[in-house]
Amino acid sequence: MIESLQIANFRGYKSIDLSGIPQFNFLVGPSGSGKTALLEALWMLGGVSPEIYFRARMMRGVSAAAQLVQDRRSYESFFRDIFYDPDDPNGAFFSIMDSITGSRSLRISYDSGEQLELNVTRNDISTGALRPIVFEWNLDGKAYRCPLNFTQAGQILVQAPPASYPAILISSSHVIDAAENASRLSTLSVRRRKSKILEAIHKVYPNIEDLSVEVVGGQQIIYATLRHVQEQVSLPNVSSGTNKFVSILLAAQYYESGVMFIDELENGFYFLDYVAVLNGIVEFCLNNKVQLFASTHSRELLDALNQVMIGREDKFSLLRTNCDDGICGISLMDGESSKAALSQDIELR
Amino acid sequence: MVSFSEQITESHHLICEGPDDIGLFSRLIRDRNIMGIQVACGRDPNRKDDKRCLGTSGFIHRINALKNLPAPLPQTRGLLIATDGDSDPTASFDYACEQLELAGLPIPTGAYQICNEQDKIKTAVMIIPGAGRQGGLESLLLECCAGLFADQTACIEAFCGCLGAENLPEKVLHKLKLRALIAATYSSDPSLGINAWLSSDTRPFLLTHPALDALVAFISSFIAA
Repeated sequence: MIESLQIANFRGYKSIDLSGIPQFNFLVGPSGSGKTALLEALWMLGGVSPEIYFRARMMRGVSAAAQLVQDRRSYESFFRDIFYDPDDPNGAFFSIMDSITGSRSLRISYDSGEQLELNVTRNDISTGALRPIVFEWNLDGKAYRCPLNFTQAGQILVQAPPASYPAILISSSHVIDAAENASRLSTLSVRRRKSKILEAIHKVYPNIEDLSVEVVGGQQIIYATLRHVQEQVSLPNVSSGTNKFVSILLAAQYYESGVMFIDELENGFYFLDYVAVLNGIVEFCLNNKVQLFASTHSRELLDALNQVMIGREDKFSLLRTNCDDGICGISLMDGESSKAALSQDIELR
Repeated sequence: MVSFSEQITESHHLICEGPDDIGLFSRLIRDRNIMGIQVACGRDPNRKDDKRCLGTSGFIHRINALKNLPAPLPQTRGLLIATDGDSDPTASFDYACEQLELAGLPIPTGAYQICNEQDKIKTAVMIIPGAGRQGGLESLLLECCAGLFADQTACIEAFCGCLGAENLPEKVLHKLKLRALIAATYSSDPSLGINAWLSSDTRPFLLTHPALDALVAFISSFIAA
């Protein structure tokens, strides 16, 4: 479990340190104050190749397809939005202290000493020596350096990566791939652990009687058996809230002892279900030792959180992000204090 | 239903017992141009839809809610409790101090004393209507109305005598007298609430009244400390 974190020169964060991080962390703050950036930073830290940066771009709705030309300015402009100060030679730096796996850090910077291989077809005029971007992880003292190199097929070249950190990011608009969900449910079903998922789902969506993996059009998809409905319905077609809830629970079981990042958690859920949804997620994370970082803009979700926290306030925090003069910061409010303020209807968002 | 949460805009807070206290102090700090303090009461934390003030029992909830706010909200620098002297001003002061202590905050040595320890939230307790005095907000408001309604006041005194109310605890007696005064002087709505009566359209006295000077001076010195 992440107990402390440090981020430097990443997006709006010039430099932040945070300690005393509990299991459940809810990020609030205005748009553009660094909530998603914090989730991305911690998620990328869990990766093992530069590919994770391209996945983070996709989560933001930017195409993963990239044409990196042999022109320093063009090449670096592609990565420019990673950095608070693109000219800082130290690059972006993220580190965490995990209670189980120890320290883990990631530095993203340009390295003029590295050899660069680009899959290019154009002969652009170079404006300076190309410095490949390098992702360098340090796992409890052991460094793993990974420059961004591509194969001739345009795929990212990764050499013998270390173990990744079990982390999943669910973006505000991203729905977990149906096949990925089906695979996770299938694995649980084989291990006879499906009943726990069903039990949790019944508490929120009592009309769902069963889930099964079916092959339709050559693709594995989760189907739901609904009360009073004759035929099974594919889970994504039941409702986006149901699909998201199941996805989160499956991810919590799949990433046991890992970290789950959810951007704008409330999206897709009916507001009267917030308490039940949050309770379900929290219980699943507790049972599977999963740490949660979730952002929200919703006052109703915070009210629900206020109820869900009761009796276990020490496991919760509210992380308030803010940007002032272009520099983002973050402050942690412990669960007890958050609960006290929320119950007095004080605006914390 | 759209609900609006309270925005924290100041680093000093005046914690009151009820809505009438909030009404008086909010108007007082506005009219006397006191800057930097926010006025509110504590509510029942288990009944979020119930916006009513919880009286002295609400102090602890308001204190806990304010003592550790995250940046960029204004960090709480001072908590000032306004509590009625009731029939035992010492007991009222002690109760307010207990609530501060429960929240882990430093406590003042006496009413109208500012406890200002380094790196800690500054605290103080104001007894209403004044230091060491029995009574409450109504006592203070009656003082503000003194001499304004001679005829009605004479009738009210006779009325209280007729009821044998002079033996009632001071706070209760003052409540009765103020209630009667409002009813007697506001014929279009004799049941008008104190908070509404305090609005500028109906209030018969100015907030520059000397009876309020001591409170204003203490609030100002608390913010400045």
